[in-house]
Amino acid sequence: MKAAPRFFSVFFVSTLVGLLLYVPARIAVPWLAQSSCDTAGYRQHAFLSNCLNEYFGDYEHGAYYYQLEPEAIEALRKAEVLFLGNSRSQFAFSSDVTAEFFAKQGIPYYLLGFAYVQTSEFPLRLIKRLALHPKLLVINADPFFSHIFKGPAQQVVDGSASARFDYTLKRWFQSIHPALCRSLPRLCQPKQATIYRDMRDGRWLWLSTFSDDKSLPISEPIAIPQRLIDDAISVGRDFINQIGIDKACVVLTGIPTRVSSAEAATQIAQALGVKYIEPSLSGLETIDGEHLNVESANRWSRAFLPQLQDTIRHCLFPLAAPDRAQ
Amino acid sequence: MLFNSLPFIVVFLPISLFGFFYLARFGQVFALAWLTLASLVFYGWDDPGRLIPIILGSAVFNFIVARALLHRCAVWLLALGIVGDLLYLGYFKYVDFFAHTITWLTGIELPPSNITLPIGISFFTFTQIAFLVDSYRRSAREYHPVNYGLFVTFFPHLIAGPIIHHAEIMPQFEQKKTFTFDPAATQIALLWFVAGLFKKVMIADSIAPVVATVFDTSKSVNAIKFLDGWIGATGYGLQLYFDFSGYSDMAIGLALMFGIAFPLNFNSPYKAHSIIDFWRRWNMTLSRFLRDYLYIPLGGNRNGPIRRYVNIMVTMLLGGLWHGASWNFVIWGALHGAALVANHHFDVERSARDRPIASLCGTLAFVMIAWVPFRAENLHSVLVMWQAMFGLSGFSPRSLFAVTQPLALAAAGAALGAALFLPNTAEIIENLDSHILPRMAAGAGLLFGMIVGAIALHAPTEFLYFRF
Repeated sequence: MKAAPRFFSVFFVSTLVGLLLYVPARIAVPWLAQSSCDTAGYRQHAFLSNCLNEYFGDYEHGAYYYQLEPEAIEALRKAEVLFLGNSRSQFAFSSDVTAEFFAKQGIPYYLLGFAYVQTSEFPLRLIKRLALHPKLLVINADPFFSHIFKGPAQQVVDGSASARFDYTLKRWFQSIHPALCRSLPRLCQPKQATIYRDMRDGRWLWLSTFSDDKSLPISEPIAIPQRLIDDAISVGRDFINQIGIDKACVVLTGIPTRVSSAEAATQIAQALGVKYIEPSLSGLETIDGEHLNVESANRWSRAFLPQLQDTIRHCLFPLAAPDRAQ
Repeated sequence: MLFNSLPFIVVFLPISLFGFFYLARFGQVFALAWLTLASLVFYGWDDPGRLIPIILGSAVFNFIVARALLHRCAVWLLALGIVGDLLYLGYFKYVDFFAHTITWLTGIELPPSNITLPIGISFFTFTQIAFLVDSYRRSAREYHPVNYGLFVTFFPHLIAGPIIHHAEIMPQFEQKKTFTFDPAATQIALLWFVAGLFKKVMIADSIAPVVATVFDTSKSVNAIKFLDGWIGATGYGLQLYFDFSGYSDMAIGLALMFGIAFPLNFNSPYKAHSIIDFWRRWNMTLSRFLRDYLYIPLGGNRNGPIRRYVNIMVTMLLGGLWHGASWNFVIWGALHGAALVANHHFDVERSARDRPIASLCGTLAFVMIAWVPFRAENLHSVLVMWQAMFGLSGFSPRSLFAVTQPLALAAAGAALGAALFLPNTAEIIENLDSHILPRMAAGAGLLFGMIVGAIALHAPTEFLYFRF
């Protein structure tokens, strides 16, 4: 064999071997490293949504956008009321009170908020992609409406092969994660803050440091610059037009947090000509200065939802008998 | 298009190579035209409607001026060519810089131009200025338009150098052996390419997270302490070296696949014993350009030491500004200029021979300190980093980032060891024995496969020198 052909054949075969070695290593390393996500939340109708582990991080964006969780997608498609916003709205409405309120009336609802820097851009794309037709939108406008688009949302929508592969791996990981931690418990220590998500209604189920019984007051408010509010009004108009929903069936709120969201949300609601609901509550507490704790989330939901009743009646049962709409 | 992307490796490169050697059977001009066309596709990949006219406009302008200079040696023609090139470069690269500076000095608000910098413009402008100057000096000759077009656009050097010289490249476009596929040269070319890919994907990109964390923190918070300051600056020095020398290695390998030999651009710069020595080893083709077309025309060392030092400072300040339209780069150039002046004045090279370890450590420390403005986004960040590195922000025995990014830190440590103690790519390849080639093929192939796997699953990252 001549030197050059031998060189090229060895190079070619080694390249194939390198490729074959890389792929399992690429799967194994993150799988082992992300085991410290808390396994306590696995249950029949829930998936691991977020975990403060650098290898796992976000799953929920890909789970919905790539339709990796069919049960969640099916429930989302059936939902007549959608709650949109960020982690603050997820914490505020992920309560038993919310679940009971809608269950009593037989209304399918879905909490479609997401973690990270969350704006209207990702939910808008998701609603279009899944061809959702909600009858009522409840939006935490703090200020929410913005074209800013980054983090996992952007990564998922960009849709590179790498992103799809990573999210698919995270789905597979969840099927072996509990067994892995039972067999090798040391691999799963220390447990990191983890959020699971109920596929049936999108509510967050938070664990580890998130679930500690913390009662911190809401941090000193930070004013939202007027420029951002003006932008939000413009983006909000476009958002409502693109969704194609009656303005009377869009409700804005401003969940108490360290940004002065109520002020911004009121202004945006007035400019958009939509309803604004903000229950008057004092003494709300949080787990970290921004996100309502379980008790305050229940108080918030209990005060908020009755005020939504008229709009539910108008948008979901315009012609129905009064008893169903009660 | 990026060298470290799948479309380039799997589609563009094989098609370009096949087309080149196939068309060479029908005539060299067809092969050269094909390669020019392929290079334009490479350059215009992301925005062909904008980028291709920009490079073609520059090439046509310089070709016409150079041709006129070869027929009529007039200084005004040379001035027209150089001023035209500098205005072209200035329009795309420096308009906002000058506008910001005017605003800063006078308070007059000037609107931003929103001009996006076309990649590689600094490189192909310098390449062509050298050609104009040599045409005026009668040390260039007239070439076929296709050859000139390929000289400017040849994709391996187009985006980030090396800054090639017409006298070493253009004659190769006329040699018969360039157009004959040479398996022995291709073996070596593959080794160069894989070495560069490894430096970029496995080393530079692995160090990047720790560097980004330190410099991002330095923008807003005074949380950087002595150890982390040095980790950030040294990490960046290593990231830049492995990124840029990786690109240069790939460029050398790619050119060699087409039968073209490129000049070396790096020679283990962190092994330098003085700043003079550093500039003989770092971005060698840029140093050569600055020496031949700026420093020497300014007078070089011909008019006494004071004038020599002024020439050095002017050369390094402009060299800094060439890297980017920001005062940070001017500061970086000024630091290196001052260090070069000091090196010459105190004859540091002679004393370095007596104290090799101290001179190596001193040079390395200075270079790392000087990289801070090169990487930092603003002057505040530069000051935060320098305060930390000089111990003015306090000492902490633990690194803030070592805990959160141990893998990136380990990669930086390994990279520092490699940069200081291992031979560079050229030394390894020059000393290759033919009987170890199969083993090299196995090792390089294995690495190549793993890197292709990594590229396939992660979006490729840009090379740092693309922004210059």
